[in-house]
Amino acid sequence: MKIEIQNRPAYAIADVHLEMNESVISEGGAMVSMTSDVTVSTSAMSPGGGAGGLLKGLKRMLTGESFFLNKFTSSTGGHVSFAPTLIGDVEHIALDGTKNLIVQSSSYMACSEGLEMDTQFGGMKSLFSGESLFWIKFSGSGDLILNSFGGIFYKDVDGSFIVDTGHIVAFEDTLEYKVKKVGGLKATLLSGEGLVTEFSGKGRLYMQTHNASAFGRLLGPKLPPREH
Amino acid sequence: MKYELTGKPDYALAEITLEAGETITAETGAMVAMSANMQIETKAKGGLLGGLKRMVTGESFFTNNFHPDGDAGTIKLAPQAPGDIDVLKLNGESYLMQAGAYLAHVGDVEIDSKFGGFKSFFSGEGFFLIKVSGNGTVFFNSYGGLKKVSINGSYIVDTTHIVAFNEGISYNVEAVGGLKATFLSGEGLVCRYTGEGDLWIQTRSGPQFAGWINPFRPVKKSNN
Repeated sequence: MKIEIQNRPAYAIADVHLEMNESVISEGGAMVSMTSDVTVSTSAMSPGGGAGGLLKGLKRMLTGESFFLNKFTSSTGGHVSFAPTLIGDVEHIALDGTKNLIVQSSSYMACSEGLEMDTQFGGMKSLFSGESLFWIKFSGSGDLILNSFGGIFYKDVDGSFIVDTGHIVAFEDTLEYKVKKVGGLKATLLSGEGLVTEFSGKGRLYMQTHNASAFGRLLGPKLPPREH
Repeated sequence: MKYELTGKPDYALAEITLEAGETITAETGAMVAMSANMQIETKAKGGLLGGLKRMVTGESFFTNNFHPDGDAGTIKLAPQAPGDIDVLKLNGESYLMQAGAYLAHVGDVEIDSKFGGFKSFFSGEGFFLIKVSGNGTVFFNSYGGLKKVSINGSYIVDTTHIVAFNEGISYNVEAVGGLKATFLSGEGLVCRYTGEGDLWIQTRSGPQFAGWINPFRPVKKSNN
């Protein structure tokens, strides 16, 4: 699998070049175009697959993530292009099996078939944050393609570091995290900063320059009301 | 006519200089700025029937003609959505273009609304195509980045990502994968191209963004 990212950083698109009989897994709706030798199958199974597939699929549904993943398989060697819904960048991260990566669910775009994928709850406190509630843990070795709303940047955390929850893209699972309020009660209510996540330990943290929920809340009220 | 495309690729702007006697036709609302000697004339392109036909495809009923009075003049044009602009130079060829991709033209260019295929009615994606042909320069735009694909054989594109393609390539609108994939995959309709020619695709999808923002809309209050 070769991954080529174009149109960075504002309107990035990832071309995934597949070998003969190789597959790439993606979230529903991310496919832009593909060569005609590529076939699509839709399943509830996680990329790691196996007997646990259906259960994991159900777990994905409960956590609000789309129940279904699409598997694109090339019969002769071709490519599939994927793009995110929102304005922003796309990043390729190669996992070698030594580190696991925890990804905010809406930042996941595609991955190679060999990666193990498991959903995790973000913890009770995040229920009140109004942000994405769950995380997907990737382990094993393979390629992972993430998208960000706006630009993507990272910090190698050593000690502790605070991020607005809506700006988290992904982090290595060597980092501990807890969701908490910023400052005192007054700051929580009036600062506009809402809940934050405090990371501690050592590991890489990927962040995005914009917060998708904040953008939705900015634009939504200006649109005509929907029926239900 | 001279032109320069600035602000590429994310926020492209077409800066056009017209000599006396030259006219540019542009989609309504595309004018950003112009020199004070530019004259504007609003027309229902192709008469009343042509205007109505244009409305069906999701374009506006009217187009604007701009020409400089006396000396040369300049005009800056930009599309409604953020994205890129590119140019097609027509010497008798024809291109099919997604209706929203047309920005402006100079010269003897004919714009015809062409039905995108019966199946597109069900896609809910407004897959309407217009045909541009003749001799002249056509400015077109994308939502997001613009990517050119040279087709030789066959190629598949999500209909909401199509910008423009050579008329000579044959195309068929179809569902992706089998029945299960069609209903569950989250992928909408795709266009299967066969033949040889150039295709431009856009790296973001308008309908997909509209679907994303929908849950943030206020809910209509019931009077009951």
